Amino acid sequence: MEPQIERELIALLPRLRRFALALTRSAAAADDLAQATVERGIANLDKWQPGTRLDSWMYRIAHNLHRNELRNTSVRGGKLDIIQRESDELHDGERAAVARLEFKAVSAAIAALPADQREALLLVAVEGHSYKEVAEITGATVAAVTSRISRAREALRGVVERSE
Amino acid sequence: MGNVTYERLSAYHDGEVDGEEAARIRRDLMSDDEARAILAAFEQIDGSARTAFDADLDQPVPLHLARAVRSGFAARRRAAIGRVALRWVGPMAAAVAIVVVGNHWTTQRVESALAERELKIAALADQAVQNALEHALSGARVSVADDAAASVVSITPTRTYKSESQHWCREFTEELVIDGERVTRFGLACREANGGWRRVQTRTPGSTPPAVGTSL
Repeated sequence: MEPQIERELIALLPRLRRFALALTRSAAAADDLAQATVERGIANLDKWQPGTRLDSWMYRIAHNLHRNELRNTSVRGGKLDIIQRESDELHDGERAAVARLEFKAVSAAIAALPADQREALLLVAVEGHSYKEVAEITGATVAAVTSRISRAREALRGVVERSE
Repeated sequence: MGNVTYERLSAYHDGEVDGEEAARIRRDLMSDDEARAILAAFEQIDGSARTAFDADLDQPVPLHLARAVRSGFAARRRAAIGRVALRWVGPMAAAVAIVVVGNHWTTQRVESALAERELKIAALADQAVQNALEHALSGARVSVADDAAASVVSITPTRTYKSESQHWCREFTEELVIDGERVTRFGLACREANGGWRRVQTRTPGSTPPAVGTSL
């Protein structure tokens, strides 16, 4: 059982790190958060219910650790080193230039979203979690999740349409 | 836009409205061009969001994360061994690894890099056993280090005797230092007909030793 969970957790690392990036917007803070999440998760593995989603469970731990971190840090000094996203799908030529512009614009718009909206957008639109699952991960109501994802899409709408 | 709000359309897009509301929204969509345009835009927004977020997956995952998983589970295994005196679960179960992953992370590459390193450390341990048992007096310590694998294996023979089957056997203490983590074990190896030393027993402190290999 455990060797399989260990492999699952290794396979989950890139997505866990992405989730941490969505919360923190800083590569260094995301790595710290992901590491703390892994340690907490493994230490509490007996509390995880086999048969339920391991990713949701790890995300919930990350979400709570991050929230506590925010609460405990009264002054958040320093500038966030917002990571520069690079896309592999770009090719030479004008189409690529347009795609690159859109990619940059969308990435910037996502980075500018409030953290709870960015989190909801990632979990629902990208990872396909249900609203209920997101509510459980974030400790919010389904109504709040519904509102966050809708507002995130509304904020991105202008950017996507402009770059068409 | 007519009767349906942006938020309810967004929920409809995600399949998060119940059957009755979904039927009503489908009816509204037939006569509401603006709502249809919004729904179409959701596809595009989600697609753009996916492209942006998926770029994060291409970043190399720092190795300390993989190591945190490895050492976390290794610690759980060690705790289990201590509790029920299980048979030693394989010489390198506790090994934590430093591996170099290129620019792209794949689980398979990390798995195989970890496995490769474990094999390397096992070979290092075997080399230390052969050297120590062949050349060292009881009480003398022989160490073999591999800088690339960040590990040191030290063997100290402790007792030498002839087994019932007339093989020369030596007991020894084995100390592994892997990434600074220290593991001490006790081993027994006997000389084979070809001159090499074959390890017939390995145990951790606190575990019950299995019966000495009388099959030899």
